[in-house]
Amino acid sequence: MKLKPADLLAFAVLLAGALMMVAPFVWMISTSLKPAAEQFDMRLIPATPTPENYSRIFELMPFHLLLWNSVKIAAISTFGQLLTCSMAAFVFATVRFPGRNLLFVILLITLMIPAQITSIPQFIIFKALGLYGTQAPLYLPSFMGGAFGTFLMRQYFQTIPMELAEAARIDGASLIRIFFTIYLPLSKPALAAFAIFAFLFSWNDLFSALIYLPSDLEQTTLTVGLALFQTQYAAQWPLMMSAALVSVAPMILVFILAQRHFVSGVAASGLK
Amino acid sequence: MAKVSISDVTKSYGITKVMHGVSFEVQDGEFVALVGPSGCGKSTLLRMIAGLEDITSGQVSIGERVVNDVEPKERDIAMVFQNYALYPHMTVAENMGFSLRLRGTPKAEVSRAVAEAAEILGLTPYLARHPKALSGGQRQRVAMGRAIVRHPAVFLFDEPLSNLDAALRVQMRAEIRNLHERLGSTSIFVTHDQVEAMTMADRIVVMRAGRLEQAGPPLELYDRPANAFVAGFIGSPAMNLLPAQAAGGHVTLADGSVLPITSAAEGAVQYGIRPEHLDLVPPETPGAMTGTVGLIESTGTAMFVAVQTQGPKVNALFSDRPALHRGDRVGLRPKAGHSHVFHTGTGERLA
Repeated sequence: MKLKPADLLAFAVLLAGALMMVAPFVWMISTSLKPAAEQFDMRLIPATPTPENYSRIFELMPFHLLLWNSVKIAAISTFGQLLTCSMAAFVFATVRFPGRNLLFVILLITLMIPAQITSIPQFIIFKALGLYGTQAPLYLPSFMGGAFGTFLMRQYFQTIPMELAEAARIDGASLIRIFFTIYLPLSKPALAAFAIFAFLFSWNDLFSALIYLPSDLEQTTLTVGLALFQTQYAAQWPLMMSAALVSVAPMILVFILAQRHFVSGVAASGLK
Repeated sequence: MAKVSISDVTKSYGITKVMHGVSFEVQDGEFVALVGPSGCGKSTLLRMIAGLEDITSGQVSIGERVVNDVEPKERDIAMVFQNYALYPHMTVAENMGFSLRLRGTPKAEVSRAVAEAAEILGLTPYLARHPKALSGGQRQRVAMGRAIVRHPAVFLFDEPLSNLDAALRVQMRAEIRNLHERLGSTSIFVTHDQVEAMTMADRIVVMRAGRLEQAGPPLELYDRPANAFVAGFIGSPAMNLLPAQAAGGHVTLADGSVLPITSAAEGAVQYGIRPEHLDLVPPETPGAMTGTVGLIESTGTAMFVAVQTQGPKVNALFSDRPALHRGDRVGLRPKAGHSHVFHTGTGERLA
């Protein structure tokens, strides 16, 4: 392909953007590999690179427990979101019933309610259920569906020809069967995209963990651990950066694994 | 095996009535084509028979059973969709065996039934493929295979050939017809293509705007259309329908030519004559129309000629390749006994 001047300009702009995005990340990696004495040394490549900070942080705080808690809670939440949102989306996309559009609009309106508004009633409910102090409040709400996921999956389901569901009905499949054997297998890209969103949301959730879990390091999540770490070791940047890197690593891994699906899923459902 | 009865079926979406009381019967083992221009309700009617669309009023029976409120899967039907509706993530064999598997048929029995259907349709080499790796014609066959493995009482076809190219369409037409003869199941076939309807069906049901216009064997519809709409719709190229004044066994056309009719109609009528029922005669022959040759289209087997008379344009079809050129003056004489006369207002046939 021959590059036109306009292409070159576009390329330069995009490259500048990419550099800006990736620079803090690269700096984080660089700092995490510096010994404490070098932390204000502005060189990008550390003079004496060392992995020591990574072992230090695991000594200072039980990061493996925090990681495990976060992974567990995020995985359960993601599963709950995928299951319940896609079920709701399936009904919105394929079943005609009175009030369907109104109900869908009401669902979308819930997107505009900030989480802070529902947090107090939610807290009272979980307290009444005797779940305060357990991890359940962090993943149970994910099994109640959600506007964002329902919307995303519905958009994708609508691209699947209705005739498939009709052919399956004639073939003798029930609604549940059509959902599990026709719609879900055909929606892998959208499910992958949504899984990343759901995983990320749960992973980054500091608020719920702070509210519902005691600051007990056995129980709490990585975000809380990171916040505690920050208050104790604020001035020690190499340690901070190592801890931060450990906390984003699983997300990066998930994204790399699902990236191909993620891109096509987001493109297909018209989201950005 | 079952007959299908449609009696006084209507369909409304809210206050909009789209079907106005349609009734007809499909006999056991019969191949019926539902034909009409788009929007006439033929697909909606088929979907009502399938159970994919609610019936506003009236009755649909399959066999002796009224199925208005019966689930599609309980109706003992199979349907072939226009876009085939093959499950993209399943192989050909899985697509074809899906309905049997859902009924809990033993695995060995499913593979036997699938293999048998694949054999009939020539799909045996493709059983392990996915639909996207098949050609249009092969997909079409898989869709039929999915229908026949279950041995349903009634086959429903919703414009199954309209996504195929012309040559393949002719081939699949014959295949579907052969399959029907072999299986003997009652079949209802929706199409907007009257050639498909004419060539395939034992009986044709012509619909327009949610009403049944005429039902009968193809040649009856061709020879004795019940109204001007059926006359214009059945037969290709379409029948010439010319405004005329009828009196005493003759009609007078706008250009003054006087033609004999077999009808006793009087007054303003529509005079119908098919392009293939016109003979070429010298200009100004009595009992013929005279005009100037316009567009000529030759297919090899026939020659289609548009003739501009003093009044309307008249189309003629000749199978003997007369030496005609644009601008020639010619006479067109209707073959005796082939004319049709319809009421100008209602379009009804006038005997």
